[in-house]
Amino acid sequence: MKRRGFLKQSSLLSIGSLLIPSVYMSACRKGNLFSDIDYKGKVVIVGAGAAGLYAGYILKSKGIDFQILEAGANFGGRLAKLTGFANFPIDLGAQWLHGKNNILGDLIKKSETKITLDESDAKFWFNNQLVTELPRDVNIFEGDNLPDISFEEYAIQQGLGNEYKFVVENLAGDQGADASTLSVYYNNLEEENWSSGDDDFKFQETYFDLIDKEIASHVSDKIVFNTVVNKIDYSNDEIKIHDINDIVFQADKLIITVPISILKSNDILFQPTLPTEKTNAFSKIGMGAGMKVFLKFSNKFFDQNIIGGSICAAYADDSVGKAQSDKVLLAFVMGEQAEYLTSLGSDSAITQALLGELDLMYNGQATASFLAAHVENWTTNPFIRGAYSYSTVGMGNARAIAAQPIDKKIYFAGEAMNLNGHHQTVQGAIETGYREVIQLLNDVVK
Amino acid sequence: MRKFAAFLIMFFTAFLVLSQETKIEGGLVYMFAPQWDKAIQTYNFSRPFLENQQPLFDIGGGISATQIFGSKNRLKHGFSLSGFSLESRAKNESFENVLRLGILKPTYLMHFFNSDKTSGLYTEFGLSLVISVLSRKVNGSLFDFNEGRYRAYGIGGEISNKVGYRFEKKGKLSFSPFVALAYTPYLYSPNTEGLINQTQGLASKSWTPIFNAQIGVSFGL
Repeated sequence: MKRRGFLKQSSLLSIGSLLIPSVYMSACRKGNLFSDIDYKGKVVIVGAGAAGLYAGYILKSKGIDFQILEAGANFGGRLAKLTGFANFPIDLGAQWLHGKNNILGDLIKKSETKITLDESDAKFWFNNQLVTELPRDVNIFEGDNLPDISFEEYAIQQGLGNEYKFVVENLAGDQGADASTLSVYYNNLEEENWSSGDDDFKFQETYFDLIDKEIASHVSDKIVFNTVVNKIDYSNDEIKIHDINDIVFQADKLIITVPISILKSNDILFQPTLPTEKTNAFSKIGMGAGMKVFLKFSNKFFDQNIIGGSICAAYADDSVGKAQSDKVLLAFVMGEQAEYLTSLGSDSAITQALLGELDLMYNGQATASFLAAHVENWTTNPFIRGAYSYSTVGMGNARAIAAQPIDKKIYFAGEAMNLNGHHQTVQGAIETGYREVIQLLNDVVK
Repeated sequence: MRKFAAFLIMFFTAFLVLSQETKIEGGLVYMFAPQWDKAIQTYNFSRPFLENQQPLFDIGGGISATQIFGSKNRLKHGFSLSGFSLESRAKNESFENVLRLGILKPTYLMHFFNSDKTSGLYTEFGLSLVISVLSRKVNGSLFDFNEGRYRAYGIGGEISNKVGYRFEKKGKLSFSPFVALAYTPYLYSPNTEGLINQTQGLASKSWTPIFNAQIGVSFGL
């Protein structure tokens, strides 16, 4: 072979050996998961909260048949909206966007939804007076080598006396828990996976509006309301989902997105029964009581945030981040404090208890300028029964076990099933919604 | 500082004196990193509200500088420093997302050259340290994916093979087209998913293998 011929052939061979596999691999590589999926089965989703709505939204984008069964008369789960109470719309449930480095941050940018960084100041109710700073740093619940004991016990161990009780209760309340049951170790462990960013944002409209306009609107025609599921029979290939009126829905795959409180309380009978390991995992995930009380006043006598009350450990000016400015103070009540207020038996008793505490803090100005109240008690809502999930002492890997699918038929989503540190949040619920659809479709194609 | 500067000058002087050939290379790179594909695929899957999907990292460009040291043997040794850049851009209404990946590779290489004057065929085997830097811009602003962190770094090792044909010009000047294949069995990049899909451990592993192929030209000095 002449030199020119050799060069030509070897060059072509070399280029071909490189380009042909490259072009082939490029063609094989799809930009999306399951881009060619053609699943003819039916998926039923139980629960029209953020996780259920988003799972439906994803299934719709893939052309898969689905139905969402919702126990209540509205979608949104722990997202809800109140209008007419003030001159701005009020979030009855989830209110703050905790960090915007997540899928909702992308959705907010895409939809040009208006949000505002919440930089409101805080005062502490400490030793019966309002102070701007505490004598001691209470940020002791983060770091290495933390023990698996409760916030309350650890605070005492670290020398935070009884005067700090309700400040610590506020920190636990942020996690939806009592200080006596929230684990220092597991809470810190799960917080280490947090990757959404530290800043909190408020919506000029409401969180509910974002979910309604950008997600629920795509799937609202697929929601069957007032359908309280009480039995799931997955003993055969076809899953039968029974509601309390004995209406039976059939599915090939089922995604359960109900709050962990519902799974813990055995409101839904599974046939065959779920593995003991699974039900034990449910019981280890905490979910405490929670309520939001909105107090409307004629004068703005209160600070932007008040931390450490014995009736309510966290008050917040609800007008922060809103375009209008009626004087509305939110009492964000969690754990034992929410249980106590619930035990008072009526909204007016709850309101009076809170006004009494505020009068003590602000020399009687609360009662003097009080106009109206709205109590949203998530604990007494039969389809929610609490605030959000938290990490209990001795929890171990309960979330991971709880989130495991059953027999490639039943999948578990919702904020309590988030394993990426985003539990307790709307973005966390959404992440589990699409995560479980990925899992489901992986099982379909295998 | 002076001692260090003097050391550097001596080092590079020795480097140039000892080197038989200096090469500047440029070319196109095809890259396949399966775990990074998964992160982008999950991003696309989970965001049906974006009309245009994020492309996978696929084709990019790269340059490198190589020093081959003098020897009478057919096997020579050398070092090279390579840089590659790949971009993934998706423009949606109100949401433009750009991922930029840069890869830097210092490489020790073994250069085999057929001393037969009738053939300019050569091949190089390389062992590289691979450093990757991934950043994201959303609507033109550098994306802070976790409390002041703007870039996801990765580190790993690579083996590579290059085949080229050298056309001698005047003196030491030469020109050679080449093809190269490289394999990185393990590149540790724990924050890549956090930057792309804004989750940790949901879409992909904290490490990825990388396959890449390159086609280019080399100019010898």
